[in-house]
Amino acid sequence: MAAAAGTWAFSLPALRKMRELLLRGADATDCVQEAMAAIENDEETGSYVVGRGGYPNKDGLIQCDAAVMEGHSCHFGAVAALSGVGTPLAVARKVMERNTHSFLVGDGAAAFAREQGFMVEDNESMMTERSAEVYKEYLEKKKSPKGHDTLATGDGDQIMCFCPCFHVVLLMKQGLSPMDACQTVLEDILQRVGKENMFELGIIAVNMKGEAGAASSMPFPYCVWCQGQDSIEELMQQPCKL
Amino acid sequence: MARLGIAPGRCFRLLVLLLVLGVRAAPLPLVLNTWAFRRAAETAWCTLQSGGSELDAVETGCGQCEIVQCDGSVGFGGSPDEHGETTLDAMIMDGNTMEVGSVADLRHVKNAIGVARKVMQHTKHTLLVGESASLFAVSMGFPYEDLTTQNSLSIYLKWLNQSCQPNYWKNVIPDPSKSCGPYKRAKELNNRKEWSISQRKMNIHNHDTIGMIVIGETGNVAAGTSTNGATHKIQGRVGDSPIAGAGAYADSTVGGAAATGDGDVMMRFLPSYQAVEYMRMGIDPTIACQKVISRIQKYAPEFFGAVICANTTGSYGAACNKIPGFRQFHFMVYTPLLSQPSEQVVDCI
Repeated sequence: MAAAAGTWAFSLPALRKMRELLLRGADATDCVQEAMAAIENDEETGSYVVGRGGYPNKDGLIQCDAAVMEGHSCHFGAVAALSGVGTPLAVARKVMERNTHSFLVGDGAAAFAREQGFMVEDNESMMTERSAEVYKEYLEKKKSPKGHDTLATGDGDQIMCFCPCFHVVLLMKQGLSPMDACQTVLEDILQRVGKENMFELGIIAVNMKGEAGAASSMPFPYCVWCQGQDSIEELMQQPCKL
Repeated sequence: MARLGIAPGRCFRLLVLLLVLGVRAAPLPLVLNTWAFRRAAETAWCTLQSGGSELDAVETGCGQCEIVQCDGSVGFGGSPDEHGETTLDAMIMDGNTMEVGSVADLRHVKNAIGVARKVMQHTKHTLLVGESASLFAVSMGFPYEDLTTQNSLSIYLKWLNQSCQPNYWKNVIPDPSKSCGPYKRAKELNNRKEWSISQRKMNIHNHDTIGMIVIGETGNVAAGTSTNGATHKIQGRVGDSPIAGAGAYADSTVGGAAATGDGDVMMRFLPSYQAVEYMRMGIDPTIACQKVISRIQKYAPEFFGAVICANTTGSYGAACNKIPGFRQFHFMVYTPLLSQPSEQVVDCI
């Protein structure tokens, strides 16, 4: 049984790629890496806060976070605040396979990437016209007293306090369907923080039978493919109400 | 018995104490921390007694360990990385609001958990890393200073003299088991499965962490960690301690948990989050900790690690994975039943 799912509509080309690779019998991790690299390195998808052409931080640097995990062995690799590499997930995979640690950050992560043969580019080549424009706007706003100090508020800051993906897997282990597991986790968090303080959160899950599910606090498009299906389903998850 | 230096009578008393405290609910407040870090438990308790919040207690308790450099594994002047620098990881979590503040790969600032608290209080982010975290700390008024001491320098020099052994490299040239770097990647991996979690040599001697859970009189839960990470780690390495759900977790509707050990492996299993989830289902804290350990055992039978947890009724427990050289795990407990922090021991499973 092969299956794949991706968050947001821009994962569609990645899912197409993964479907093609999986049907050819490729290794699951290779599929994830190859399909993700195309998105990460594409300036067009940078505006979705992924890789090249993304949003710079307050010092004007594009820094990326990525993680990869293999379910059968529980091997895991991650990088954070990595500058100058267009394919951060591939670096995370090298951390998983070639480094005895699991998580590298900052300059150490960049040094490791270089040792592994990745080209570490300067920041300018990671930026697109759009990235530069966004940063310029940010600097101008900062000068004027009325401006906000946020460039791109990531809800990741709040999401990581709830370990939602781990919780979904635990619930599926207890026998919940992917849809029910995602809904339960989202409702839990919603109840916890209250409707008025709820942040943007979208969760997707796939189980070993190839069934998929999702839950979200905002309209959330996602893509799913399961072996036996000709095409990739583009689905829209409506926000959970409490 | 005699060799362990424990008199039978004391053993019996300890057993009775464990039965009384472990099975029945103990009165609150409760301070629970990993390892025999007595001063940390004392400091956290004093903070509570003088009217501080649960978060204040966690911050000062772990902060005390950073000052006295508990076992050389917390705070400045310990566990130099492969360039000889000490870097710190820490987190703090508020079980009422589920807010977390954490720092990783923090350089040149001693009070890591203090900075983590400031991340929680003064930013909308959760985790800051590296030199940028240091700049944030300085902007919050923390002193920027050298974390190297004679002790960390001598550990580093000794390691250089023994051809950088042990280290954390694999599949690189020159052969990392014989020589120092700089390393380059070997052409191809001869065997992807060559390295397994069980072959790791990390143990009690090169890594531990203070993890602390504080449950206040009214059942508010806070948890936190602080560590200087694995000795001779590769530059930029972050362990489990600053990751919510891995190093520690707090939820005032249930309780709290903290983990210590081989962070590279443990962070993949979110042991603290899972212990809290088990307790949410009504499972006793000791059993919850044991279930977490046995789940990791399935994938990594020889991992070095321990978990502590406590629920809001004041019950607490601990568990560890039995490996050569690590058969028992010591932890500290402070409750109103005790006039001083009590060191307790659990046999590893």
